[in-house]
Amino acid sequence: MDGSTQDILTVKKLQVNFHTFAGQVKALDGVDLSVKRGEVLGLVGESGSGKSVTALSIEGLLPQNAEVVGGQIILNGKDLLTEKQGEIRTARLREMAMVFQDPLTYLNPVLTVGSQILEILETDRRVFTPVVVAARLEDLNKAAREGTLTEKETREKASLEALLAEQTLGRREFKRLAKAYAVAILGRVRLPEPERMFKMYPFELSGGMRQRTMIAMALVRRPALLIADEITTALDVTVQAQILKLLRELKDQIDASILLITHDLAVVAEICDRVAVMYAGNIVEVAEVGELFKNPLHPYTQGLLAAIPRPDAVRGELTSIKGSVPNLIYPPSGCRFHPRCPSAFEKCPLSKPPLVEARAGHYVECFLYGG
Amino acid sequence: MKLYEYAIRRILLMGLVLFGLSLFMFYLTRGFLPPSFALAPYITPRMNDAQKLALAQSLGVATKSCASFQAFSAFQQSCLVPVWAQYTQWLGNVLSGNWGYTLLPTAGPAAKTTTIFFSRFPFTAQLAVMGAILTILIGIPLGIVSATHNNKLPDHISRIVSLGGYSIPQFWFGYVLLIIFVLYARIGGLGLLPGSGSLATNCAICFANVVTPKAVTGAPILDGIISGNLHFAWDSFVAMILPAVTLSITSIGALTRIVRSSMLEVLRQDYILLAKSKGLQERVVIYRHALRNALLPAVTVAGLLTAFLFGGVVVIEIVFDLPGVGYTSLQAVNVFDINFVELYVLVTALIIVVTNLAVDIIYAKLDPRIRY
Repeated sequence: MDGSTQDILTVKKLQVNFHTFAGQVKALDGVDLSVKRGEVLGLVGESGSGKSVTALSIEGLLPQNAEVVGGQIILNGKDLLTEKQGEIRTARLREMAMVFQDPLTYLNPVLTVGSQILEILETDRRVFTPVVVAARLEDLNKAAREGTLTEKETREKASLEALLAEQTLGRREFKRLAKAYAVAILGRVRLPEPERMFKMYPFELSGGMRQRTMIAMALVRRPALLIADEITTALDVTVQAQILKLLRELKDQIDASILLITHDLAVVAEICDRVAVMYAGNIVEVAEVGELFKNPLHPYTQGLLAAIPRPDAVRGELTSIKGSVPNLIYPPSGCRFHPRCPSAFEKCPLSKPPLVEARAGHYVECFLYGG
Repeated sequence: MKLYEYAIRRILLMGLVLFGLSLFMFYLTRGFLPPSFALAPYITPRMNDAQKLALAQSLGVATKSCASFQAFSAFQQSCLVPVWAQYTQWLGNVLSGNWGYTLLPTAGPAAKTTTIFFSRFPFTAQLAVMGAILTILIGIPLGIVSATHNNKLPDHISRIVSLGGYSIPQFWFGYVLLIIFVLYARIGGLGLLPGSGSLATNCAICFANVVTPKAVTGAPILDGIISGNLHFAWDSFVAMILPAVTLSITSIGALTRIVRSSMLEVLRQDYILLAKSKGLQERVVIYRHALRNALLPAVTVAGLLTAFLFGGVVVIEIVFDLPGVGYTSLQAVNVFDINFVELYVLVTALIIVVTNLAVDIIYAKLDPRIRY
């Protein structure tokens, strides 16, 4: 896959090792990935396949014992791996946002929901001034169209329009607008009574509400890339459905690409445009959602799809991929899947297969399809 | 329940705690000593035996049927009052402020226990408060630096300082400081800092010939500020530097270690990862997101350290020859001045109970999850 200009994010040959007492864990072994502008890319794989490590590498938030050994992470044309820490922080603030798995442990227990959102905006007042002013103006314009504008609001509208041109805003004025904007965002993630939610502490909210809050924290920044790491895993099934519905609604409203990390193929089928399948630190297959489900090429993907229980299957029969996820301290040679692969042949243990385009837009990393 | 309701309930409970403590303490002091010790603080030199017996009977330490003071002194069965029966009398006395005269040889004749105690107590309080301030001002930042530079040079230094401080005997550290800052660091023939006493003008950075203002609070630094005599306040402050540093070295070590470990624990939490992923500055992540959570265990320890500081002043007052109440109480123990000791125990207990209440209230302010 070449990093074409319409890609918002391109990850090339990313290699990450973890230093542990037991030895070096080769967690990512040359990950290639690209997210196109406006698309939802699903990243699926078993636990331990390296999905979250990929996400944390992109964010530059790998734990201390991790080391990026090689590769590139290009976000909006900048290689994040060569940028300074400060630049990466700015990128996290303005260009990408991440929503995590467990909404209870990821929210600070001693700060209110509102303050945890406001602090994002206050980190860079200059950048977010146009955002909050525009949000307020949008409200005022709507009121103007409906003819419910008070005299005071008319004056505010005029002054804000002037402000938008100058882009300067006093601290208190900024705070007032930022708060209104944050409350509006809380409403947009379908939290009931956003005004009240703003003042609540995380422990006072349910799991679904907390997840919505975390999504709100991502949305206020208007990120170009939204990374959603197993966002439905820790939730009840009914709440999962609501959060997915919300994500699908937001996908149309916001101008962001989404990297959706999950181990749940049903979630992928639900909202993704394309899917990348990960196995033991490699991307083994990338394709459009429909194509992948209809025509899986890699033996691992085939096994994964066959393992989904079906109501029409013979009773008592559950298919699984034989063997287990390899120990990544001593990963299998060549293709990391070969010890478990039903179609493995002499070439597989010898070298790592290249990613080949087996059909149009359908990439697979397997010797069965060439290379 | 609202916070203030909780505070009121706790204050009422505080009375109960002090009552229980006074019972316990009363039994420990009176239960094992001859009754004459209970009488001693109330006797004046010119009393004859008949007056002494009458006094003993009015104080409830001798029975009404006691024949003579000699019989009382010889512990005759007919004169003895059970300890529990003495308690109510004693309580009535001390609650009305009658703690008798102190037996301290240095206090002079007919010096009231309360007068001596409360003239020296502010000095000790000043020392303990300065120790507490130093503990917080040094212990918390050192712990933070240690945690944020985990296993790097600042961490190693801070760990050596805290472990050292924690393990050094205070009196020895005090003497070392005296040797360094009074004997070796000399400017113009004078030591950099004063060596002993509450106010010594013979130091290089002190003002000479300072007028001592009238005691208002009894704490020299405060008195100096209140009376507008800033030279006196400065000198008093300078005189407190070495004692306060010595006093706080142990608690600085303890607090640093607690803050470091709880900060390290908090920095590993998921919400810190989210805070970083939001693009917040390192400063905001550490001080806003991590510190507040990390301070929770530190606040508990700080409460215990306050008690420790008030206990630790005894040694410091001896090393630096300070006119505080800690050393005086030690002398009181030696001369069996039980009223003085009891007063010291009760006041110290009150301070600890109040500190604990403050700790609980601060805890509730820091952590919104706590409900009463």
